[in-house]
Amino acid sequence: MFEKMKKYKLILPLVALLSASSCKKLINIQETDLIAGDVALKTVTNVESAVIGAYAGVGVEMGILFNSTLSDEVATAGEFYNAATTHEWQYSPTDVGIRDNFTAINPNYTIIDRANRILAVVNTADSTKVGDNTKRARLKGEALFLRAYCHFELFRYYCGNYNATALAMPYMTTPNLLPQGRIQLAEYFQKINADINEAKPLLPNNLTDKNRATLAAANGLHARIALYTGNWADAETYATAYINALPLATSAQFPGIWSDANTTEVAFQLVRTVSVGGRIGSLFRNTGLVTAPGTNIWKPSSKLWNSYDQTNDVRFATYIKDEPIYSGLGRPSRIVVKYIGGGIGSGTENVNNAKVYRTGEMYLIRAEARAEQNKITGANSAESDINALRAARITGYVNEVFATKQAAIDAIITERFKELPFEGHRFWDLKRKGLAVQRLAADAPTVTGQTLPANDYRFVLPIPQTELNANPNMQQNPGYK
Amino acid sequence: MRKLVIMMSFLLCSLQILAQDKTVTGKVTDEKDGSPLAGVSVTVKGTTVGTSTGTDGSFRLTVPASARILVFTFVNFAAQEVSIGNRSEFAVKLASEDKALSEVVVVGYGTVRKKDLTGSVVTIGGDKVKDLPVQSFDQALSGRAAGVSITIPNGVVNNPPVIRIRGVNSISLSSFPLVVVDGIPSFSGDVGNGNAANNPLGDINPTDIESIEVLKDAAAAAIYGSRASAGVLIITTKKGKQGRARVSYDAWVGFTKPYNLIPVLNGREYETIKNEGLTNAGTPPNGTTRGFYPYIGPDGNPVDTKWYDVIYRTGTSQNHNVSVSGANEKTNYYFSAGYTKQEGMIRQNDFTRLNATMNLDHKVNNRITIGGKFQYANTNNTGVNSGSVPGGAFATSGIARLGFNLMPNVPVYLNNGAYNINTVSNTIGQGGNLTALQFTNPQVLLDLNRFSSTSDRIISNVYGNVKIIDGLSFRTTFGIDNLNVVNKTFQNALHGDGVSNGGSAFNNLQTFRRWNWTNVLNYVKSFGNHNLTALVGNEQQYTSSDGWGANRQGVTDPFYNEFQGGFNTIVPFANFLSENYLVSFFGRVNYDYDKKYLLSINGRRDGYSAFAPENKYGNFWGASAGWVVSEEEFFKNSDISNVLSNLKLRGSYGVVGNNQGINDFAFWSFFSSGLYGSNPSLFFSQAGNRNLKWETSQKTDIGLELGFLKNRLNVEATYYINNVDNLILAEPQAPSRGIPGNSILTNVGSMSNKGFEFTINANVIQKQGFSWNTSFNITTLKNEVTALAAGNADIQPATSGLERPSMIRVGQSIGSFYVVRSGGVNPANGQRIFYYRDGTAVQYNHAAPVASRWTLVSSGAVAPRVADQANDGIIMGPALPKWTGGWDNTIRYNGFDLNMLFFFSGGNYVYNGTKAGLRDMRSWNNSTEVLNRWTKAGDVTTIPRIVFGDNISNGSGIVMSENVEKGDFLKMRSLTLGYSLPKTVTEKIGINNFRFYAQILNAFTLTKYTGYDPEISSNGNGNGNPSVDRNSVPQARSFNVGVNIGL
Repeated sequence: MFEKMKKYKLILPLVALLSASSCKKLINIQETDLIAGDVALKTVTNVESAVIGAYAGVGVEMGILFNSTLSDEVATAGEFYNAATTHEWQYSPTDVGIRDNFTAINPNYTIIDRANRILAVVNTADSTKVGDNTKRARLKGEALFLRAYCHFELFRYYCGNYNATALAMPYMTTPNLLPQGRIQLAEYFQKINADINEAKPLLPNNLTDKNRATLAAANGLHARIALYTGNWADAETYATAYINALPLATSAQFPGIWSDANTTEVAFQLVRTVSVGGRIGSLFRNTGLVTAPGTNIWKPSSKLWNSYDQTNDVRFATYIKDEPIYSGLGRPSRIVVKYIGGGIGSGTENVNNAKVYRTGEMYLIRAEARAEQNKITGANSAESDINALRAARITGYVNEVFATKQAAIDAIITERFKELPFEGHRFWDLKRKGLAVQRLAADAPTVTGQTLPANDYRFVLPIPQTELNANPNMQQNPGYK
Repeated sequence: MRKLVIMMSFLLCSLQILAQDKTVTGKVTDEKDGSPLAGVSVTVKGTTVGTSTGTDGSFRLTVPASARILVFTFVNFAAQEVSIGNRSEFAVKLASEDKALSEVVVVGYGTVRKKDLTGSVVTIGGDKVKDLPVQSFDQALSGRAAGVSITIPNGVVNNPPVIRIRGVNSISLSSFPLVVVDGIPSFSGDVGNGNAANNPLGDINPTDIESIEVLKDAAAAAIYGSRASAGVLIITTKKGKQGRARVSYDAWVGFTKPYNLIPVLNGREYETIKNEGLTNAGTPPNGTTRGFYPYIGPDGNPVDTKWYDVIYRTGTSQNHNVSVSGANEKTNYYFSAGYTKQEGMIRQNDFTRLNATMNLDHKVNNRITIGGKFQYANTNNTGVNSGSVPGGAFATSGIARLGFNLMPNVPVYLNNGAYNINTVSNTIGQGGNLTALQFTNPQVLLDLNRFSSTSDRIISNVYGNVKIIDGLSFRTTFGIDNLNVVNKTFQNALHGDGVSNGGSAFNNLQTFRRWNWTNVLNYVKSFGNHNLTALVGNEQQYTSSDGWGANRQGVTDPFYNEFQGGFNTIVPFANFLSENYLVSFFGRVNYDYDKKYLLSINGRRDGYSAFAPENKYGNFWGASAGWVVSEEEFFKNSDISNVLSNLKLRGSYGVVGNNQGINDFAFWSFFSSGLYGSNPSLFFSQAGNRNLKWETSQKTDIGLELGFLKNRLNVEATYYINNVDNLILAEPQAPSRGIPGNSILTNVGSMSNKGFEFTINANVIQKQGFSWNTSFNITTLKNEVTALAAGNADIQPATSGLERPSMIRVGQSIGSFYVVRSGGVNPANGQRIFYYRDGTAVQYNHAAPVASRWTLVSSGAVAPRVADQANDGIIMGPALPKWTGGWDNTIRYNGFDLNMLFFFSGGNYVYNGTKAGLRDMRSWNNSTEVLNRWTKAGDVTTIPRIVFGDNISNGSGIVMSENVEKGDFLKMRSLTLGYSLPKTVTEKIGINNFRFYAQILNAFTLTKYTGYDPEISSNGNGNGNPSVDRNSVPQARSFNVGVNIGL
């Protein structure tokens, strides 16, 4: 009888033991279809996937849209217009046109965070394959490149023109949840330059894979940064390095850049397919059928339209068009065709790779840098660069001679307008040069929407309210409440 | 015998019995039929000396010489005291106790007599849910219990009801109670495919349910720890009753149709109204490019299509259930099999369930009892895109909308027999109309699209119970709940939602598996007047969910309408993989002194896998105390005891938690994989929070129980407070931190629910052959949100991703409406008046040029801006009912029984968004009330001047107070008239009982609400957007007749 009781008494601790052992294992259930932070970037192969993941977040589309709609590149085609607050410069920190998907601060800091997570582990990730250590260096270079690239983009949106003590943005070098304050531009660019300089020797000195950062791409970024910070000698040096690696396209090759038939001039592009990254061309005009083409949202401005030699300039027909499919339906027919992809009604309508750096831009950066260094005319001058670019674009072009620095600079700004429309430069160029946005009356949506005076505070976008709400150390830009 | 020896040895060891004892023997029987009662506790009053009766009701006990009185106590029977005197033989007859107080109430991991209960628990008998034409038992609980609010969202079959126990208890997690079926927490929610609703509780046959207990306060629910914040429903299935095998057959047949459909314009009225709108808009119908004109049908007359008749039907239903049950001293069994097929009021919307249940308990010997249950169900739900389940309100092909918004002057089929559809625009065919139409032809969708959700469900458990020593027992239970769901969708390429993908088939399999192992050590002991029950236990629960499927698109031949057919492309769809584990240690002590002073303490420590290692464990507890004043001598001796037979005060306080609905990997930081071109990529996709922990709920409960006239009239009043803290919300993060989604889940919110509950149960008439029992309950609720994320920033939950009538704001009741005040129709010009927040009256004229549509009422000058929700919104609330309740009556007269259940709710507002759609002045059809439109100066009406294209004046494009209405209603939920054949007849035909009945579910609704029904929830169980009526189907009314036969 007591023996029996003993048996029962034995069961209890046994049960307790079983409970304890099985619970230890199960209470720490691991996620299996997503990869948890501590194991995600274990090997060099993982890190490479993370680098690809960082590229996947990079987009030039927002810059293209803002630079077109805030400047004089486009006018509303009259079929759909819901961007009055941005197009007519009425935005506040909470405006719908610059919040949610239209907030540059979000994607750029997201990519910076991705780059920082890579940089935190890239030196220690396990090598599991032959060549992993070589690859490791490249991956580190790419992460540094992306970090510099995104910080520079943030500068273009949210900071005034370069001045050592002016407000920059926070420069993030580690994943971090602490509230960050704005530093000064001198320190900010020191950090950007340090990242690029560290990246350059690590990046491939070839153009085998233009979907990822190369030395040429880093030179492109470096040249652009030097341009915005007035380091004219550097701008000339890096632009030259780029140009040496990628000469100008011929006028025969030129349209093929935009149809993705070739990548002449392009050192770095972002892959865009129907399912990856979306349709760039839809920034200006929706997709549709040949019988019912998509809504024409933004048409090229008359100012841009009229600026070209429409017969001889290869850029005119490559960038913009009077489309008979639209005119046949009695609809506004001037359209942007630079990113028309497979063409109206095709499955890949409006799908094109996004070009980040192009030799055309580098010629204009070098021309401006040379002009600023008073190399106005003669060999290796602003004049020679402008003429070389125009000769490549315009059939029967006759070289022009520039008498003064100002004449050269003016010509460069005009040439940038014609060479780089819908590539995300115009509004920043006007801001950089202290010029007004001056639309033609025919292009302006309203009388008040015709001119944004030079150096208006709205050339610098407001820090979005979401950032101010959650970051007590953030400081709003002047002019915005 | 052996037991007695053990008993005695135990006593010898511990209690030092004096030598000069005497032995008493006897037998205890049931006063009613003289049958022996086993397990009756026999004790010597004022001591711990005692035993219990054997299977033949006999007992033998050695009592000290000083013993004076023997106390006999037994569950469900009134305690009896017998003086010993010189006797040594006793024949004791126990009388069954007053039912209300003797009822045993199932609580977590055990039972307790209602009389001893200090927590807040309500029992709903299985007979209340058994014969109703519902799919799941929870649909039958409206109005049954104080503190339990149940809303049937609409008439979609097997759509999960909204259940709220004492208010809304979470914002981002679940406010649905934990449902425990025979000790195993069940899956709940909706596992359907978004069109065919599939409530996993519909897998449980309501006929198999013995009782449903609702645990409301911390004292009752804290034993469920981290899952108890929203209360607990404990479902106990039937067991056999002592005696020979009983066979029951229960069946009903019936039919179902919609009720309170809102009348809409006929074809001619439609043309008049729309053409008038065109004229008023300055673009009159011209017969060539514009206007609304009849289509001449095959009979030569203009068609007048009743779209309601195309989508609704009178559905027929049948239900059959057979059970065999019985028990002897050793074995108790209950077997049942059921079949039900219920057609809903919407065409194609059917519910079929085939199920079998086996419950078995066996006493191996006096120490060991083993048993278990096996329950299998196969449930098939079919449906259409009803537009009436959460997320579907604005579906272009949502069939509820098609019923009232489709144009009545176009036919279902063209005269040549083809579907009336426009294949270019993928809309309904124009008929004779020239102005472009919207919406799709439901006939095509009903004929060619298919949606189904089929479940296979096994709920099973085995247990062993060992009596270690008298009073101390150990019980181990292992249970599983396995749910496999196959969801299938086919959408045709010809018309409707499938066109954009060229026809598509989505199939997916969802597997939910759970095992639960519970070990409980139970101790029951009385020491004189000190009665003690205690338990300690351990529970472990593992749950996994696994889903995979694909969407095949671009049907290669119209012949195919199955996933396995020919398609162009295939994309992954509805893939998920997740698991969680909960380990718990819990304990409870119930103590009472002489049944007068009651005390109960329970605690639970839960560890849950979704939280970070340092936050995995949480401690929850509840304590309660009660004072049964009526057991006091002074009370018993006073005159008042003649009237007041029971008086109990009770109170409880405790802290419980909520993890229900939290993501299984909530604390983790993650990288997700993707493709960039053809390269695999990884990116940071979830910023975790290692500090994340349970939402907690502090529950206070103070109650008073009164029984009058020998407890023929019982009154219970309770005041409750639930203070919910640590609500998990997505705390916005500065974009400069660069983390995914710019938010991190954080415990930041808080909310409170307070109110009174009041219940009266009365045996109004209790005569031979005639009785009237009535039960009335009412609950009040005051909900207030007290803290939110991001410095208490407002949250405006969307209805189906589009409209945002609801507001979660600190200081307000959750989900109150946020509306622009509207001021009726200006009699001078027929324009809708709106008010700016500062009170300025503006009016809207859709016929004017865009820039001058808004004008000031005062001057007619162009208004400085439009009126909108962001600038002019004001709170109208609450959306949660301030009071809900029920009134249940059963009247028996000889063989007849009549039951009436009323359900009422009110004090709140309902957002009648459907009304906005019914008055929308685009090409949509309208309710007949638009015939009273404003036509000339001086007209006083609620319908503005009709301007074609106007979607503002009616509220489609602006949430306005005109469309927020009082939600008060009284509904006769069910009315049942039954007749049982008298015993004399049934005996003659050799059966036990025979009853037949007729029943109406949703007999009528009394309300001033102008929509279909104020009992509505377009957002299902959404916490933050209750009482929204947006393009949903109405409630169904069912009639059925049935039989209950017992052999």
